[in-house]
Amino acid sequence: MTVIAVDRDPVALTLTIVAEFDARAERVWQVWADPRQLERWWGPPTYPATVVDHDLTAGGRVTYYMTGPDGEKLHGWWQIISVDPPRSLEFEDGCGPPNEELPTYSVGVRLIETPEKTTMTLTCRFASIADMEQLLATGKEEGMRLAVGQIDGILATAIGS
Amino acid sequence: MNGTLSVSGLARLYPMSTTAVQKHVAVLEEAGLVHLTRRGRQQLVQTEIDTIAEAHAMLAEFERLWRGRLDRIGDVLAEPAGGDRP
Repeated sequence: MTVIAVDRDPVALTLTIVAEFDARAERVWQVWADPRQLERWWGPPTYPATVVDHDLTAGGRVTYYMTGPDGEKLHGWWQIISVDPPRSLEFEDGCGPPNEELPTYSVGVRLIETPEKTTMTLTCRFASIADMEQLLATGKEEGMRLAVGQIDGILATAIGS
Repeated sequence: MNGTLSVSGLARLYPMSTTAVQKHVAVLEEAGLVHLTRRGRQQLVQTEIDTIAEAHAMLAEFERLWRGRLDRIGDVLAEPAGGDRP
């Protein structure tokens, strides 16, 4: 996997990441479409995801929970907007029980196959700065906090050795 | 430029007419980079630098999250069995 482009637009509140994979589009699509494969990458190693429902159709839902080191369960869900296998997927990413009034953000996935690789363009759109703050604060995106901790750990090990 | 300035005050800082500055300011406002208010006959330009910096930092957090996920997708795809558990 190689990230070939990143665009953070602080005015439009969008994040676009373009990554290349050495695989066919059909194969890359499976990491989204197969719940067992999705479980292996959605959460960081210390917060593995368990997918409960996986209805990848327009209007359908994917629900999951991530289990933390202390056994705490963090629930999340996707509300599917559109699906076009193996080319594109759009969904609202939300946390907590689906009917709670917590902010969501939209995620768009687009796959383009070339003879040698598949390019995945990921677009995250946020409705407001307040929503972004709340998403970061609710702990749903624990992957980020954890990533920071992991980096600190790696740095400490590197310096200590 | 940081903080608040009037359009005429800005025009004095640059070798440009007030009309030319006004056009530039209109473009910046369209992009959400400045906020325009009126005080009497004066048009005030306020930068949104803090808000933009905050949004940028938060987008960086989401970028970190998604880069982690993309790395893990790469690991799943690299497996010969096609991602299935052995």
